Amino acid sequence: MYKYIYVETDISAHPRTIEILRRFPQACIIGCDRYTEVFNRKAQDFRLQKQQPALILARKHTGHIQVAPSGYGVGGHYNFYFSPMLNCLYDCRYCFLQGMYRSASHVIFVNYEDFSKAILTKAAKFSKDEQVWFFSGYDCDSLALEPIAGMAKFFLDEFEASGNAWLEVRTKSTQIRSLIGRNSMRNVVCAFSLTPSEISKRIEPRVPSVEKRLAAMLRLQERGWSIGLRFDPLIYVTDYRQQYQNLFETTFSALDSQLIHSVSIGVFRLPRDFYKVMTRLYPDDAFLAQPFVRQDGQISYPLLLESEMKKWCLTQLTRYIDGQKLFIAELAASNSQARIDPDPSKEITNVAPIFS
Amino acid sequence: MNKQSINLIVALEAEALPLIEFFGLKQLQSNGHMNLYAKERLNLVVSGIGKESAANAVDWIHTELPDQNKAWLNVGIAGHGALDVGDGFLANRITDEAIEKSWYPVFTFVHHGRSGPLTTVDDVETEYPHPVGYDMEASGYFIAANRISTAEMVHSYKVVSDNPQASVLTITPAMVSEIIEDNLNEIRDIVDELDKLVSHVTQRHSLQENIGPFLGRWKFSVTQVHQLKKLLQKSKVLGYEVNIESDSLRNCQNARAVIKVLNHCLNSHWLDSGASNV
Repeated sequence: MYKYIYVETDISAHPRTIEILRRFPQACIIGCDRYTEVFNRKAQDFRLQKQQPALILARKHTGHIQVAPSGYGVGGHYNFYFSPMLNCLYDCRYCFLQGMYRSASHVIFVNYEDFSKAILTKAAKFSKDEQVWFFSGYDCDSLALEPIAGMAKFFLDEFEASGNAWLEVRTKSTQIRSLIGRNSMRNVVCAFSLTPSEISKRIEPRVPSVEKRLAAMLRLQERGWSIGLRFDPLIYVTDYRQQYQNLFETTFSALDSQLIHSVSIGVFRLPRDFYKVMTRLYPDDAFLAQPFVRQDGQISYPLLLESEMKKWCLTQLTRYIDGQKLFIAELAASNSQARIDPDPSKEITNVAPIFS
Repeated sequence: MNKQSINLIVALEAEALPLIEFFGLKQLQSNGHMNLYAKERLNLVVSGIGKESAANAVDWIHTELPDQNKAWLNVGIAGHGALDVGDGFLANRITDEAIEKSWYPVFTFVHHGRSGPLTTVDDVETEYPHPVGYDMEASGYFIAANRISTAEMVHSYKVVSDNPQASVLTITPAMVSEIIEDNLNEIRDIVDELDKLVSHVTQRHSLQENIGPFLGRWKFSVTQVHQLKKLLQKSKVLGYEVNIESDSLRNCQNARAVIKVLNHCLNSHWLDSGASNV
């Protein structure tokens, strides 16, 4: 799978490094002092690198956990995220990683123990009755590299001992062996991102089919695991109602709603600077070529569409799931008021045709 | 249409000769210090020895040739602490010994040959203290070329000419040409892979719309030309053909009005069935 693997000298003898390298006897191993010498340097081409991503094994020295962006939570007051990996196997056209990083290499920070220590120390600062949430899968897919990285396997062990630390493992992957092979945990939610099949096929290259993800969710539920459903990002297409209705129906008829921990929705949005980078990388892509609207440093759908999609999806979802389990991933809270009840006439006006 | 090229930078005439013959290159021009050879999209400059010369060669070719998308390959001989004379390898780490800094060419193509670290030295290395390659150009070349092209497009291929068993003093021009010649097939494979990469990047921008008719009818500022290009390209990617003879555009008094109409019409994407094309 990986033809080139960069290894920081500092962690070349780390047991996790040795274990990972053992899987790639044919790979060319290249030493480096710091992963930043290779990763995210100026004058790199994310799209070209996506053709054959390299693997980088490194140590994360500081900043093991970060405060989660507002609107990222699923009910807890205290939300953090952590990223022992950077970048993703998949190639979703809407993904902000394409705009955030110049490199498509996959980075694994092998010092999981330091992440764990930071997590447990942070959780210990809160009352034992508080749920302190830690989200993995923000800068990477939590499970896609599991056979190589063993990240979920390690962190499940760590969270098992904690009283108030809650873990969300967010993924589009079906690599669930680490979870299936053990008893379910009350403080762990395996959250799957879902997009209607037809849309997924077009803008989520390499992502397992919706059917396969549903099968994985079902297996997890059968083992007692709580499942999260993340309809995020919601993607607009002309017949989005039909497509999302089908997706909701298929999903909820397959799963046990008692074992669904939470459902969240969020309309597609991106920081404007990331979007600019992405349109330069993919000037030929129909999804990114759409006339998105700018607002407060973000780009998204016109307000009318955005609020309509959100409202419609919420209405549909309440047919399947208790409203208390439903969450909306919003832009920054300060902007949310500005996004209510937009005036459609200011948004999209029909004009005389110029397209032949 | 964007143009593209593959540019070979070599230090010595003896290194260049087999490449010139193999690729059928012809001398195009000279600036008194360096000679440029070319055929179709492939160019070759003989830079002279040293990292500064190599950097100058890159800058010269970049100035002389207006191609927007360029890939680069530095080909030459190198000493090596472990490999045999005649072995070729692609540099996967280029270290400048004088400033103790490293750069990493990025591999996004399949290469079945060897790759390994390369250290650029200011004076000929005769001790070979590490199992790496030693040359005198690669760091200067890489820095200069990576200012122009992304790291996936900048590579350095070296053929071992000397090692602890074969002194640098035994090197002759004929021997240099011979060991380069022995590795021409691998060099050709790398050139072919670079050609695919540069084509891939060029292809991304091939949908650029012809803005000529618009510029002929209205006066656009530089900023407006950028806006116009972007709007026409987005329209094309989304499957819309812009009709410059439509009433809405014909009635536009100036470029600003044209941009406004194009923007409005593109927004109608959300109203019609266009959004099913994403």
